Amino acid sequence: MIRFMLDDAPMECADPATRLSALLAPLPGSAVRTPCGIGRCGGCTVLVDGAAVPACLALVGRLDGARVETAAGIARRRPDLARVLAEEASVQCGFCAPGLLAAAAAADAADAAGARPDAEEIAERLTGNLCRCSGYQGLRRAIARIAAGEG
Amino acid sequence: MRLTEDLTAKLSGAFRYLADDPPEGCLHAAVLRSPLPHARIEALDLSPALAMPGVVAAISAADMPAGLKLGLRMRDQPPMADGVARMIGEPIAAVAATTEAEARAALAAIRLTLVPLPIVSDPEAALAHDAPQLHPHGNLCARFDHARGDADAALPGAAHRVDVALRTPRQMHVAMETECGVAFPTAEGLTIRAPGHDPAGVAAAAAEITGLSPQRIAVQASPVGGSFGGKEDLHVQPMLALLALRAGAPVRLALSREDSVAAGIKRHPFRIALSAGCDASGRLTALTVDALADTGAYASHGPEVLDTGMENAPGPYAIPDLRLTGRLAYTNNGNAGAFRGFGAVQTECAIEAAVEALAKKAGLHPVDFRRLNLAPDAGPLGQRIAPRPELHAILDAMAALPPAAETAPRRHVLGIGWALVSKGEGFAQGGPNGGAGALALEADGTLTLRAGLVDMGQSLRASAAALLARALGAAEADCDAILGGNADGDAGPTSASRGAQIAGRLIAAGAEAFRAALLARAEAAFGEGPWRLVPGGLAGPGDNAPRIGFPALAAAAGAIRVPVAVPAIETDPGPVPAHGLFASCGARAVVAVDRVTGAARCLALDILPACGPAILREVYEGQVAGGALQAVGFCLTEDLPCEAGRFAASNLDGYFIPTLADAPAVRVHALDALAPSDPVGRRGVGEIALNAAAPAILNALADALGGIPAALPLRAGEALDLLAARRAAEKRR
Repeated sequence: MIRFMLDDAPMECADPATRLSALLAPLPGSAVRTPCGIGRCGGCTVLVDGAAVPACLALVGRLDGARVETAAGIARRRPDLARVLAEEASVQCGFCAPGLLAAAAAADAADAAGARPDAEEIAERLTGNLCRCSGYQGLRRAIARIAAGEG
Repeated sequence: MRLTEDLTAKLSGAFRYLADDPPEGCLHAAVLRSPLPHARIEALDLSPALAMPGVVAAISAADMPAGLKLGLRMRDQPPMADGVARMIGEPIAAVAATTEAEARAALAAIRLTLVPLPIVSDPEAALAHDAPQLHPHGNLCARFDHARGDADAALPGAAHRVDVALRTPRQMHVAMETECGVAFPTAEGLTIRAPGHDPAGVAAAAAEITGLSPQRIAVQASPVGGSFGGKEDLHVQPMLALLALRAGAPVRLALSREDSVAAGIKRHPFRIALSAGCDASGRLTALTVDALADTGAYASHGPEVLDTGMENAPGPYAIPDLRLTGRLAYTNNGNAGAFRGFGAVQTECAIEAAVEALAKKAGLHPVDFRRLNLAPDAGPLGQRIAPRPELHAILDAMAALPPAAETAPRRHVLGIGWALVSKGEGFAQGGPNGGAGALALEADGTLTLRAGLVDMGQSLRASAAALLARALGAAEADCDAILGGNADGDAGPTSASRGAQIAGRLIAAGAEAFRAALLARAEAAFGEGPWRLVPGGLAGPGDNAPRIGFPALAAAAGAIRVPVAVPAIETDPGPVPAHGLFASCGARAVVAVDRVTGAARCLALDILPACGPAILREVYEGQVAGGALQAVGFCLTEDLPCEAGRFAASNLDGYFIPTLADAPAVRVHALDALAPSDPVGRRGVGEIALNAAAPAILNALADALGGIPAALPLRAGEALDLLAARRAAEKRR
């Protein structure tokens, strides 16, 4: 039995070959959806021990003892990050949004020496998050604010 | 509701889409799709599937009303393949089972015998007299012919002439939410929750399929996780409706991206041959346009796309002699239909490329050439239109743009291109241009617009709430829009950039009657006022703040619903379908092409829409930016080639929409003023930016390369050939 924390609640799964997205997406109220299913769009991004991972490519067998966060938990832990993205209209239809929030939460992490990334580095870490609606202009503005320390 | 609340709910994942959280006991559907582009269904036996564990229902065309065909202008498409499959991915059978795994296993048990038929893979070959006929009425799905004067005779005499040959891509919508839905039987009949543009249309089609009357079918089509036209057609609704009734239980289906790529709608690839001539002073004298579009297996919106493309081929210019010849061919190349830009973006690329090239030959600045030839008050086909003085304002603003600040990176050549487009809004004469809805005080006190319009990411809900608040003098927090249902009349499809226009007109038409109803209800419940509507509720004489909140009013007086309807805006009925209301936009693009690799990037876009005052500024600018990025994809990175009826890609590892790294700086210069006499005072801004940005990018590429590319998206090989040809020409000089 694989046991891990999901947004601060215990979760378990018997089959290690289960894809994380297949486990999480059908849960009632789930924040996890899979626009492509092959790890090319970033829409199913979750955090596994703080690192951004596409849930459609993650097998549950690797998650024993891990701390998994979806956008639901990240929005509670970092409401200002969600606020900055919302204020800059970084999303429109919103289908890419949970994956974007998760990726953004990992993208502004400091390196081992404690140096925070600048806007260009944050942007590079978010090029794997496809958005078809917004044209990315709002996301660019939000990244500038995040790099400046907001969120 | 406010926009930031809506977006925060989307970011946290709390926001729910229509296929989320299916009801208790929901079954899972799976669809058996044709593996061949053209085949006769010789034998189909579903009984082994029905015998499989967990399978509750199985259907095919045999379970649909005999001979039923659906469609818009052309009803040529059975909801499931009926005796013949005309494209890879066409549904042949569908099952509903208690788990997804059981449903997939059941598909494998179905006994299917297909006999391959000859494949029609080229639209030109499709129109040859000896081509295999894909439909009883042949392979010509639609044609468009319009002429004035004699352009073919006038062209040879032109002082300057340009011939443009252009192929445009089979672009795919790639909404992040694929086609999906849930259907379930109810006491009244049936409920269908599936993202789409036209809930009344879905109810009507489901009625034909199931035999239930449309009044017994409740449809919920909003919110949508992106569409851009890809969800305008029926997708999973017909199969879900029948499966749910057969199974007597809820049924859910969400297409994999692979199935969406194979079977979903695409943009029509166009082949355009355009010739334009002008006199020595730069006045256009003649234009001929021959266009061939590939609609794939079924008509879908193809005839309308062809009509709109041909109508917009002359641009907003005065051209005495013109001939427009358009053909739409069936092939086995998937299925093409509605996509933001709608035929016009294809032809606008060709005419704007010609205009820019003629400007160069005549020695005029591209903006001055357009100004010289502008015809703001006449429709492109000579039809009566609402005047477009904003076209002059756009050109003035384009001329006043600061010079492009971008410089060519090392070993790149820079190009700058311009475009001016004006596209008919709403549907052509005779289309569903009017709309109905209601203004309501809900049981919880929310003031709402109720309409079958759909929010697909263009923030129609927040925009309508803002318009309602302004019309009534209430607060935005007091207001909301309940969208996407078929219970409050038919608002018409949310497409052709008409959603915000119709919402605005319904609110404007109903606001006074609704206000009167609220005040009358307040008097009846709370006694004489006089009451007045203020943010937060109703105030009495001398009150600085609301005395009665809207929730209190609803609790005391009950819910109120005031139906409202608006008519279509009429234009000249003519021999070809034509629009009476146009939305206009200008654009300037800056691109850089790598001289060594031929790779091209768009560095900047200035977009100048004249769509009336924005309802919500961030929504307006977001729609412009989103459309502009789809134009970047159209010109630089997106295509889905089709070989012998088979697409070259199956998922997003083979089809590339722009990423954050591909995004140019998009600067929006909104011009708010329309003519004072304008019948509506506003245009939807959902499409027009794409229509303007694509030809501007093409013109920038032509400027960089020294010649107009023959195909979009630009391929590195063609870029290098054009650069080499220009170097050779410069050497000769």
